[in-house]
Amino acid sequence: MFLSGTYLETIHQLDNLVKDCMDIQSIDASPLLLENKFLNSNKGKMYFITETTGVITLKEIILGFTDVEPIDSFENIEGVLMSGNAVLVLETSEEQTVGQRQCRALKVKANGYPGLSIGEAKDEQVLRGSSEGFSESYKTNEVLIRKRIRSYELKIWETNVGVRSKTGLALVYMDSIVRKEVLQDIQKRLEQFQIDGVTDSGMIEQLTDNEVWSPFPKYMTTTRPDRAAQFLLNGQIIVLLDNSPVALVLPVNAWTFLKTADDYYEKYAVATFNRILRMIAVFFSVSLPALYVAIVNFHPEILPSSLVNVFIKGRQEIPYPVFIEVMLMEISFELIREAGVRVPGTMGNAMGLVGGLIVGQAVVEANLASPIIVVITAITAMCSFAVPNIEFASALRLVKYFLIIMSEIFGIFGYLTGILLIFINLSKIDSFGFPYLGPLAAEELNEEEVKKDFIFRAPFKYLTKRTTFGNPENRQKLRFGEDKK
Amino acid sequence: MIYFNEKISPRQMFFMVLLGFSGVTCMYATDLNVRYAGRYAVISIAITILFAYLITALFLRMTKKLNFSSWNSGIKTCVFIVLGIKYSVLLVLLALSMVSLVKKEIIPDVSYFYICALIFIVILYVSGINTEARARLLEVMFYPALIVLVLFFVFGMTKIHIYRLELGELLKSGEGENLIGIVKAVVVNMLLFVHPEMAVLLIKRTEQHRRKSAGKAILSAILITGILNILTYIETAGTLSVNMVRAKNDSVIRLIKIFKMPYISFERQGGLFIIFFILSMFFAVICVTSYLGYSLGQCGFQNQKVKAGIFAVILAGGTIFLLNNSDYFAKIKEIHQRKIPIEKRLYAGFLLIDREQGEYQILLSFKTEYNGSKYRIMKVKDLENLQKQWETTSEKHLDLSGVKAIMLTDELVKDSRVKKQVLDFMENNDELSDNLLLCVTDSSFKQTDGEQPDNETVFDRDLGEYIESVASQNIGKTESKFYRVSLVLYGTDKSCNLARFHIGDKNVQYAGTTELSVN
Repeated sequence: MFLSGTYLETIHQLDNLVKDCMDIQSIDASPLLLENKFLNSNKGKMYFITETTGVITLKEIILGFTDVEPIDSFENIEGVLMSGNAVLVLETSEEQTVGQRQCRALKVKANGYPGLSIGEAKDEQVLRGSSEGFSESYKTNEVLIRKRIRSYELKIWETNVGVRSKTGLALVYMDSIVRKEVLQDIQKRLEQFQIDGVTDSGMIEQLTDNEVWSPFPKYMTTTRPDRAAQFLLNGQIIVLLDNSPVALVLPVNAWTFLKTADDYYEKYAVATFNRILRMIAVFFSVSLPALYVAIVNFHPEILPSSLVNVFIKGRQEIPYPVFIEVMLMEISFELIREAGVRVPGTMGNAMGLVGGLIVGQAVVEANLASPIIVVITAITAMCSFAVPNIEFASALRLVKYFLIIMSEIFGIFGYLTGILLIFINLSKIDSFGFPYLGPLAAEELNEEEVKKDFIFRAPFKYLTKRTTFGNPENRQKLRFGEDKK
Repeated sequence: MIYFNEKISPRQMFFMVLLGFSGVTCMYATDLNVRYAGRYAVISIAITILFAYLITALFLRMTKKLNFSSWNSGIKTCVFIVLGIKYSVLLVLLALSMVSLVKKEIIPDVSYFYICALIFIVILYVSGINTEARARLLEVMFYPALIVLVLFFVFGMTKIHIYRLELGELLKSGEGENLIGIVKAVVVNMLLFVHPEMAVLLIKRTEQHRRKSAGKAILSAILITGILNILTYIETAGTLSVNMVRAKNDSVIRLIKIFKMPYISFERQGGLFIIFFILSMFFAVICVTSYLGYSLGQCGFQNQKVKAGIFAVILAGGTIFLLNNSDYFAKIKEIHQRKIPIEKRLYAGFLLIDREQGEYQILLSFKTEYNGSKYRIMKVKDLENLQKQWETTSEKHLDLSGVKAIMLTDELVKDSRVKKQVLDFMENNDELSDNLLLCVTDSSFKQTDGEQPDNETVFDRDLGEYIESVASQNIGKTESKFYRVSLVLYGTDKSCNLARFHIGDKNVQYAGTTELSVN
């Protein structure tokens, strides 16, 4: 009597979606008891009931107390289920195969999307777009994604990780547009280790990383269901871990970390401008202190003569070398940031203010640092905050220190060599078979469609194809006019 | 692996060949070709590129029929050992060129040892990654290099004069002994810059169905490299003249130093281009490492770590051998000598040079933090010792990179021997810019000596900037610049006009021009 194949698989994944259907139980009406038991024991499954019981259910129990509508065909059932409703199907007396069965079905309105318990995505603020964030329960997070993609093609592969913690892990993907090789790769990597327990998705990220020595992240992280839905619709895979509000996204490349959710909500010109700003921010956050050290120590001749005296005046009273001055300021800033994260919310802001304004001014007045280095540290910090992804920004922070040291020893040559070493590292790493520097460094990925959503973001109606992360056979995502069909 | 498949795409191949060769050839081709072929250099470069194109095309044609796997293993090993030796030597030469370039232009005060060590680290790291990753690296780095390259050619165009290329004489004289020079230049170019066999090595890394387009990519890259070389030659010789290029070993660097880009406030934009050349050297190193890696792989060394080890031995051994046989080796033992922080430098903005009783008297003007000036007078026997002598009485380094103008007295200019000493000092001092203004004054040194300028005179402001701006208003922006004077020194121009100033009690006044000739 059960449905089989795609429909059944999908329906099994809907248990959370229709769970609030059980709210029916709270209605104290004796004629409904039978129905309550029925729904309770079979939640998330679709049953065919006999004509006799079905008629009773229809006429005497369900109709009249809730919003019930008849459904004509299986095709319509899909949409109804994906909207969070329960469906009752009445079998006819004719013996036919399940897929072609003539039946009567009822939509029982029981929308069960979790709403009130969902918090805001605090780490990924956007100017425009949903403010919903992932919760700690991966089941709820699955539903939050399904709320945005109401298709039976959205698949969830679940497993447990941690021999003692038995933490639930779900791979969420769109069946027809995901690359099967990538899916198999992540499934294989998840089976390759055995661990006592995992408490956050960050541990999964490290355990499945093939290039452990590179500081750059191989997964994008997101706490926003709308962002996750965007990635899924691009053919990427989302990893959800129970007890972690941070979802992992794979595969990615370096440019993925510089895009935000509202890049697609804004007009193309604004989105493009913001992307260019972020790229400038990456350059400054990595290079500014290192270039300062190199120029002040080795190559002051490139400064305009009018600026030289400003630099000299600032440095004259400082009792220690430029390198120490820069490191002192940068590490002080890191301490302020670290302290700001650890202390409770409002105090964190106060800590930032105290650190940034009062200490900054005090060190300049006490001749412990020149005003220029305070400006440089502040700009560097601002730029590092403009990088949308925290993991990527953290990697860039480390790279910055490496470049400062190289510049201190070798000047601009050291800086260049450092940059080259970083790019060598970036060119040899990949995220699930996709070059980290792609599409810039991969001809096969650098096609016209990809260029439309790279540094320049084309007007939305021109973004007709998915990125290369997904199934290459199924790239069309937007159609107009005749093609629509 | 989806896209990491150890295969190189035609586009990557194009970038590998273009970047691998263009940076190094643009740096050295002009000097080398002028040295051997004189003003025929443009012809020798063109012939080299033609040969390179044809031979590479021939190799690519042969590749279709070549099947390495069917080769006798002994012959195969021999061929690849020869290629391995060739690329090892090239690698060592490239590393040494980089060391000398970096040492001379970027950080003269850091020892060779540290620079060598750093370059070797990069080479080892590169050798540890696979060919595909190297290709991807060059593909990405192409874009920043492209920006600088375009700027280099666009801004380099502004000072070209065709007569300095001596093309008219080229047509007149026709054949002569320079023909042998052209042959020599082509041979040297072919040995150093053109490696047709690399096309065979590279093409084996592409997928079978893309080999045709990969071949085209390689040939296009060779053609573009040739065009870039010819452009560099025209810019360099057209600005500095064939004579000056012949006399200098680093003419492209010299050209770079006189670049001035409008709207960019850096004093010496040339640094940006030097950075490009250093990057290009790295690219060349990466490419050659790639060919060497392939050769070693064909000889049976497949393991990346084994390859890295072999690279290390070859490079360390080769470099020490070469340096041991040169004067540079002594400098290897030097440790970090000095880097000079900005607050330990004193920037002179203007020099007035006179000569009295066998000694040079120099008035130095320094800009103060309130845009005023302070002055100091020095006496030195030899101008080359100016900075050293300064440091005997001051804790700060006398930095001449900010000098905007140098003024010579009439007496000094009249004495041709002394004039030559002064101009040699300017020519050889790395800190002095080629863009500084050289001018003369009819006032004797005594008139300026000991003056106590009050707040209302030009002496209270940056004298270098003032003189430079007055001169450029009156005789044009380039006429009295030092690099124009150099053209006279190297015999390209017979004379040039120097701005003349009269120094009064409270003012410095423009007073026409003085012709500077060879004698």
